[in-house]
Amino acid sequence: MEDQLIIDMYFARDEQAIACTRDKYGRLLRSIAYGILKSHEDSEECENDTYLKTWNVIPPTRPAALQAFLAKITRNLSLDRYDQMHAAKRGAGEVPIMIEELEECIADQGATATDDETEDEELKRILNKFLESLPQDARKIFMRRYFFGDSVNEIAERFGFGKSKVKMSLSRSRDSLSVLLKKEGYNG
Amino acid sequence: MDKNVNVKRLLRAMSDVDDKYIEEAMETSAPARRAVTTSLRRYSGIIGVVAAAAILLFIGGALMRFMSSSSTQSESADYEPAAHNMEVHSYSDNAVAGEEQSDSYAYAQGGSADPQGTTAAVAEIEEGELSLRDSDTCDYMRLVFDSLDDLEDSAQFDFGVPEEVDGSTTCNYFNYVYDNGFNIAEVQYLDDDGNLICVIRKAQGERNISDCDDCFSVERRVDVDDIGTVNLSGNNRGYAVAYWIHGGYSYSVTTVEILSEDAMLELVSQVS
Repeated sequence: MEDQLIIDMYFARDEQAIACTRDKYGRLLRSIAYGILKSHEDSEECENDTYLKTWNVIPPTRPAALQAFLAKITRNLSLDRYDQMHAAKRGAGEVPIMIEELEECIADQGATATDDETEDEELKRILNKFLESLPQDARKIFMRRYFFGDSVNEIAERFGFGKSKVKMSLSRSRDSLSVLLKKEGYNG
Repeated sequence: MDKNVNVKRLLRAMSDVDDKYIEEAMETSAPARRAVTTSLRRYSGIIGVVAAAAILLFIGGALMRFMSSSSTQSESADYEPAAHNMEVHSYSDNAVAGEEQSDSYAYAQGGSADPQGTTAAVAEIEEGELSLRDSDTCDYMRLVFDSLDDLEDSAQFDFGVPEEVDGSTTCNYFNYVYDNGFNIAEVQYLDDDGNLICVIRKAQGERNISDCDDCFSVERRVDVDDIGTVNLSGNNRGYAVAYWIHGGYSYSVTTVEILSEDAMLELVSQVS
């Protein structure tokens, strides 16, 4: 079913919209959640929470790209759940590894922005600028790693690249991001 | 501001990047199979040279035998399989070396095959034991094939698997070869988007090759006709892993989705 039709069903408050969303994107959403949480149960709960949240925000929101819209919701819900699960200590899965990898991009002395919302907007702008600057392959690898939470091996499998190529690409991209963040004054 | 907080904020901010980058990253190149083809193509020259050398060796040997008056037809026939074997072995060795050079591959979690978790997961050998851990140093090579027949030739045993599983449109065929001679044949089933659905493995010997060891809360053993005891792992809704030993071989089935016991055993019954 076309995304636009599904969105129209949400606007018409037709509960079949959720079933259609699940049929078309359920597996994708579970895989995103699983990449972060490494738990079937928690991933399914995040998937279901995604449908609920989607139901609550459409309308009034009309997503330009339903797939990306759902992916973002699932990712944020998964990160929320991850934080809840590991409030006291670092847990398993890809998140602690991703944090460790990205630490090299961030200096100890933190952001210069004065409030959270401004800072988040600024980070979003910098990230989009950074992604725009990357070659397509490097950008896809970076997104699979840090948006979808895929492991290096999963990325290599997905795109048919060698593992060493994926690692090298990620390392170069992180270096580029670090330089850009400093240049933009994000991490002084 | 705390560095760790900044990093988490960066991770969060990734959720707000332009949709076009998310959609672009969801595109899938033909998974793995393309890598294989590339890898084999890269070494096609070497393979060709080795094959030519094998043929020359065979012809030379046959010629020498022919020239010696004591040669018989049955003796020259003995050379043919020898030359054939040499070609096959050289081919495999070069393919392995190629993979190592390009990847130094340690198949982990994967993937996606990660299967770990769900699926494809990670195989590492330490002191002859399979480990669940991801590693950059495990000493094995991965060979990728375009067909089940080629995989069987490489693994040197028959491998009966379903042509497809529910929702799959593509299969990948892998052979993991360890330096101690142990090898695992693996078939991955993927959907249209390249997402992993199921991984089926077979290896000689008796061990759990599923990469799942205490990874689920519920475990159960089921006796199945013509197979024996099948170990199931999952949760209170069903199972995602099955492994068993039969006829000197180890088998495993790992699915991304939790399946009912009946559905999992139906899959198991299709593997030989």
